[in-house]
Order: sequence, then structure tokens, then C-alpha cells
Amino acid sequence: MARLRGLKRQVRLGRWLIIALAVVVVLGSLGVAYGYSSGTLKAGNMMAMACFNGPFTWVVSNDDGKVTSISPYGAIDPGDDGGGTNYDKWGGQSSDDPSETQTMGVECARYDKDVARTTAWISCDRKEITVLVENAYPSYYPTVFFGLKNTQSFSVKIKSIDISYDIPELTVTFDGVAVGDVLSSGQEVTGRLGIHTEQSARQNSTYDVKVKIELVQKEKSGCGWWYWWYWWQWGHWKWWC
Amino acid sequence: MKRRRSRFFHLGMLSIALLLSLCVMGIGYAGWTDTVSIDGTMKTGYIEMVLSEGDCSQNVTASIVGHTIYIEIDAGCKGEYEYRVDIHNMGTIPVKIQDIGIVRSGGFEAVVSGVWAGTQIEQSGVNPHKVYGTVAMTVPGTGTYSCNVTFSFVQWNLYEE
Repeated sequence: MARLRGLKRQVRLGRWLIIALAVVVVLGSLGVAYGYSSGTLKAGNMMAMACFNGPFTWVVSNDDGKVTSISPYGAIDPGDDGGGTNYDKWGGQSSDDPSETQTMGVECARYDKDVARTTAWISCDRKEITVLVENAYPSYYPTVFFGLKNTQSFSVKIKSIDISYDIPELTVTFDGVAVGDVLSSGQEVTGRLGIHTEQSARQNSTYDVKVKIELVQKEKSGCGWWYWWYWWQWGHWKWWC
Repeated sequence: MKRRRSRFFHLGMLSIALLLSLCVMGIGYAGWTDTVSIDGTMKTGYIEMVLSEGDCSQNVTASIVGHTIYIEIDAGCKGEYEYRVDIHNMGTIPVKIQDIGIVRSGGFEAVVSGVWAGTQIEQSGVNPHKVYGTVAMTVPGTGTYSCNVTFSFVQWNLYEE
């Protein structure tokens, strides 16, 4: 009788073990699958988990006085030759002012004067581009080109692009990168930011333009149980998904 | 009995711990997101045109308010009288004269020479950032005459012919 009870106990114990193992294996395989897609299971990569390690690869202004070539695209801003036909305020640091938004690799219309100047540079962590437009005036049209590269081992998606500028006296165009675009690992896209100063712009003033691009990992299915739990609770995804 | 409960307890705790750790890992992985930005600052230039009095004929007096010159001639005889105005671009953007308006009273002729609509004046520090215009007035005889000359300026690329 005692032996029978012991046998039953062993069967119950075995059942629990199987259930627990099944759950662990299911969740574990979800976790492992996610880990493979990200490629960051190594402890050494843990610090890089919160960022994409500088996606901006290059930036070019079309009014900084030099034609810039970027492989494999060639000359990005032809016509930015540092000249000032009838007037040259900035010397070789700027060119005849653009009078229209430039297409990458194609010369654009320019005034015969070099009055304003636009420079652009990337921060050392390659996550921020700064654009400085100086001595601007109505109908000045500088264009800034940039490269955005997925430096991670997994695909990323452009989740949102937020363009804000504080006044209607500017018209900002942004293209080349769009919400929903997916960048596979190592892929680079080129973007363009055009700024047009409108007639109503005030003299001797400073205006700010900000473009925020939010990138997320493309595959979300590996978020595990919490992903679905949060969706069930709130009907949408939180920051972690 | 006590021993059996303890075994289940340990087993349960182990399972829960495994579950929690995997779930927490799931949250950590899902946190991969990044925001990059482009920050632009635009500083605009400005236009500042200053008119100042130059040489003038005897019997001619003038005052300047803004971009308008108020001229009075106390003519002692028939003839031509002149008033010269210096136009100086003190701003940072080249400008052009869009229009020169003359309003006369007293029945005489007045013309502006030296500058005209379309004349370009470069920004301060670059030649020619200063130009000279002459208002030539031909009066028919003795008397008092007056005229106003108003200059309107526009940034060079917005000049309309």
C-alpha cells in the first residue's frame, strides 16, 4: 500500500515536471529565437542593447563650398564649387546660393551671389546631425543630404518621423526616408532635408528645425509573453515593443 | 508529508524562477529602439539702408526721414539746383532699389540721376556698399519749391522689373 502511494506520488511529480519543462521550453525557444535575430546574446554586446550605434554615416550640405563625393553615389552636391559669381561673402566656404532644392547628384539652380551659407556635421556618436544656416534670406534654398545605415545585425524599421519647426515662415521638405521603411542589416538609405525661407521670415532672427527619426527592431514576435500580455491589457504596444 | 510538500515547493519555485527570467529577458530584448535627430538652426540676415545728406546747391535745404528726402528750394532765379544723397547698405544682404518716387509742388522739373530702379547696393564691407544719387531740380524762376523723393529697397533676389 505504501509502495503504491509512493508510485502515485512519483507520477504526480513527473507530471508537474513535464508541464514545467514544456512551459520553459516554449518560452525558452521564443527567447532563443529572439536572441538569434538580434545577435546580441553575448555579454559583451549587452551595453549596445539600448541604441543602434550611430546610424548616420555621412552628411553633405550643398552650400558649404565643396563638392563632396561619397562612395558609391559619386558627387552628392555638384555645383557647390565655392564660388560667388557677382558677390562672394564667404569665399571658398560657400558657393552661389541655391535657389531651389537640389536633387542628389544633379546640379540645381543658383543665384549669382554667395550671401548665405549652410554647414552640417554629425555628432561623434553618429546619432545627431546639426545643420547651421547663416545669413539666410527669403527664397534661400539650402539642401542637406545624409546617409542612414542600419549598423545592426538585424532589420530595423522607421517607426516615426517627426518634423517640427517653430514658425510658418519656413518650409521644410524631408524625403528619402519614410515611415514604415525597413532597413536590412548593413543597408544604407540616403535622405534629404530641404529648407526654404519664406517671404514672411523676419530679419535678424533665429529659427529652429528639428527632425526626429525613431527606429525600432523590425521583428517583434519574439517579445514573448509580455508582448501579448501588454496588448491584451492596453490594446497597443508599449515602448518595449 | 512535510518532505513531499517541500519538494513540490522547490520544484514550483524553480519553474517560476525560470519563467520569470525568460519573461524578463523578453522585455529586455524588446527594448531595442533608437531615436536619431537632425537639428537645424537658421539665422537670417538683415537689410538696413541709411540715407545721408551729401553736397547740395545754395538755397537748397533738406531733411531725411527714413527713406524719404524732403527738399525745399528757395530759388533766387531760374535755373538748376542739385541735392546729393548718399545711400549706404549697413545690412548683411545685398539690396536693389525697387522704386524711386518723386512728389513735387510748385511747378518745376525734378529727376534723380546716379541711381535708378534696379541699382544694386552690396552689403556693408563689400563694394559698392555705398552709392550716390543726385536730385536735379530745374525751376522756372524765383520762388519756393519743394519735393519729396522716396526710395524703396528690396533684397536683391526679390527685385521685380
